[in-house]
Amino acid sequence: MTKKPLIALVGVGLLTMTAACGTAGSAATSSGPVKIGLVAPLTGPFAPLGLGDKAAVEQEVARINAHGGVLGRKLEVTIKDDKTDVPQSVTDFNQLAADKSYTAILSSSNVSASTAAGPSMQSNRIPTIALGPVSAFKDGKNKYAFTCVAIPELYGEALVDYLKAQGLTKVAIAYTGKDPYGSVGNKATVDGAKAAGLDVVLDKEIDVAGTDFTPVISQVKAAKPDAFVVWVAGPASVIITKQFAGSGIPLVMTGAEASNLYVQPAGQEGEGVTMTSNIAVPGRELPAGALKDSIDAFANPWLKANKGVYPPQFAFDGATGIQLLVAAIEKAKSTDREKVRDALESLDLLTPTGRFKFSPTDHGGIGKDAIAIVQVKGGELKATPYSLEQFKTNLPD
Amino acid sequence: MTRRPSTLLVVVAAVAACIAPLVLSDQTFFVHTVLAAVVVSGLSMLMGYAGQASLGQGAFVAVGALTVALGTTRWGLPPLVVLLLAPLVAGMFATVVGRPLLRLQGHYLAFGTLALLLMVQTAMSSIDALGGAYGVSGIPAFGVGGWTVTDQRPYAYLALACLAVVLWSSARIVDSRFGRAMRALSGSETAAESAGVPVGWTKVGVFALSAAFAGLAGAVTAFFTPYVSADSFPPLESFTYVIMAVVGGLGTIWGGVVGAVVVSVLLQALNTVSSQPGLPPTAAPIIQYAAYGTVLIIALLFLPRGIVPSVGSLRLRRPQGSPA
Repeated sequence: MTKKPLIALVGVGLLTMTAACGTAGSAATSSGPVKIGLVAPLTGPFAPLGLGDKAAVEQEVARINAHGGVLGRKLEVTIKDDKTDVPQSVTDFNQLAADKSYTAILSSSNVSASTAAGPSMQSNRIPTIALGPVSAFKDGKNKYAFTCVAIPELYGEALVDYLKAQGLTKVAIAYTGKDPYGSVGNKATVDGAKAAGLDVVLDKEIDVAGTDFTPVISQVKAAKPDAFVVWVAGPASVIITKQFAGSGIPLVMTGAEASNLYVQPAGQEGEGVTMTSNIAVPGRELPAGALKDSIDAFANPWLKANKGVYPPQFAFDGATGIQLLVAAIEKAKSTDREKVRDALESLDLLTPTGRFKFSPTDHGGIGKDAIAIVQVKGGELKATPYSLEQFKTNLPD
Repeated sequence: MTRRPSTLLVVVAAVAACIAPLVLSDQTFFVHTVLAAVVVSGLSMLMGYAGQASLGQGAFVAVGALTVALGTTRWGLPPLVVLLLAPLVAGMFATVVGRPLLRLQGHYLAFGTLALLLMVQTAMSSIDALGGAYGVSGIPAFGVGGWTVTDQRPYAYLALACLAVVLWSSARIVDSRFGRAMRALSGSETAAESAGVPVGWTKVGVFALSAAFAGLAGAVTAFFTPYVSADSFPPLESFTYVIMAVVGGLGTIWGGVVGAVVVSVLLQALNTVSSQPGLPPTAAPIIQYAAYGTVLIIALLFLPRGIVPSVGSLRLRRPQGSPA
């Protein structure tokens, strides 16, 4: 290579970089569509989560646009598939966040992915609601990061309350340590169980990429607990259910399984499995009121569009996420990212998954009362008698 | 083997590359393509000039990215310092592992490098100091002094600048005494040794050089996607680098660039096709794998030396003064 091409290359580069400084992405304007990004796992192991999010967001966007849009403008959502891959999710998030025409983002329901994108939310100063339960966002230290799903600590507490109320004394736990959802949830359950006087007879980390869980299942059976709690997401939950069937020990899952996409493949072996879920999953069994109306407003069109199949937990989460963002934009009367963030931080809104009250020190917005304990009965998720009793006096509406 | 393109062609390519970030809406694709070209330029030198194969070039990309991730988040080093440090660390790592690894040859060396990548991945996912299960997030944006990148476009130019440095240094190295020793290896190691070429150290040298290029690409990647974990460097990506090198043409300065652009554009086009409504979500990976195989077979059948040498041969065969 001669020096001439190199000098030309460097010269062209410098000139173009100078030009580029003046052409950075334009900010969200006061006309045209209001743009929101959604990063979700539409393929890969967590596809059941992302597909529910996507379908719910699309349904809500259609409804909102049919009713005049947001601030009198059309709502437009750009959806990116992160392939259940954390680096890909961060890449997709950054791509949307770098485009100043986007007002806000709904980040992945994969907790690891949303957690990893957290610093990008700050550096890009874009208000973001995670569709997964990200504990790291709860305290509001990351000004731009919110979560619209009950965090694992809340699930853990609700789970322990339930176990104690059932009179159980010995618990075995298996969890994934490669995901904050599993590791944080496990710790919350262990701490809560000890505080409540329950005996944790086994606490075992498992590799959810595996397909044979019989070694840990053998250990659980040998420990003879009153219940076996499993903190995982994805296909591993179904495999564990199948391999644990017939043990005679009650199996307890968490919100990641509160979906037909778990119930159907689990089949007969899934019957009787108990799990935590958001309050909307047993929505049909809630007493009449504002919360039930909010749930029905989303669930009824879904039932029509999905041959009578009730929305899964992730669909309700997606609907809540978009409703929160739209309410914040309406409250801010602007698509300016800072104003929307400020509006989000002082928002008080009833959604299908409970009443959200965000504050500068609470970016989680909901409490334990937004969690239900459900059980697989006849291939459907039904509220347990424990939860039905709670609904009478303690609804997050 | 070392035929160079004309000045005009280089200038046109440079102008096009510099204008592209201004007109492309997808900066991510552009940055990834340019950084792939950086890695493949080094790999092309390793495979083409030195006759050594590597299926695990991602290991050195990972080392460069980790240098940036840990340097900025754990040790508080300035972004420019870690950017410069990353290729050095990757090169030193390659020097250390290269001595025993390069005793292997052919397929064994290829599998050895793949094993190295898997070991690096395992170390990253299991050692908390290297990110552990959750990876390293919170990598600050690149900046120099008081200036910090707040947009994706400057990364496109940073990647282009890195590519320019890599191409320039590759050209200088190939023409140097070390370059002649390196080229001698691809013909016959025995002949090279009998001619006085220090075979072992030359192999390690070119291995370290290709690793340094990969480390540089990894450093920019870490700033661009401010998250680094073991999953950031899948083996498939390393295989793609090999395909890019073969398609572009081994042992050419520009083969890596051409291969990276051709394969990246093809994969992007297939991604667009596979994400059309009506196609199942599994269509994308299936089409991608099929494309890798097809491209490689077509390249080996019809362009066994790769695009750049083949086009170069056509230019040589054309009579002087004939119309273009």
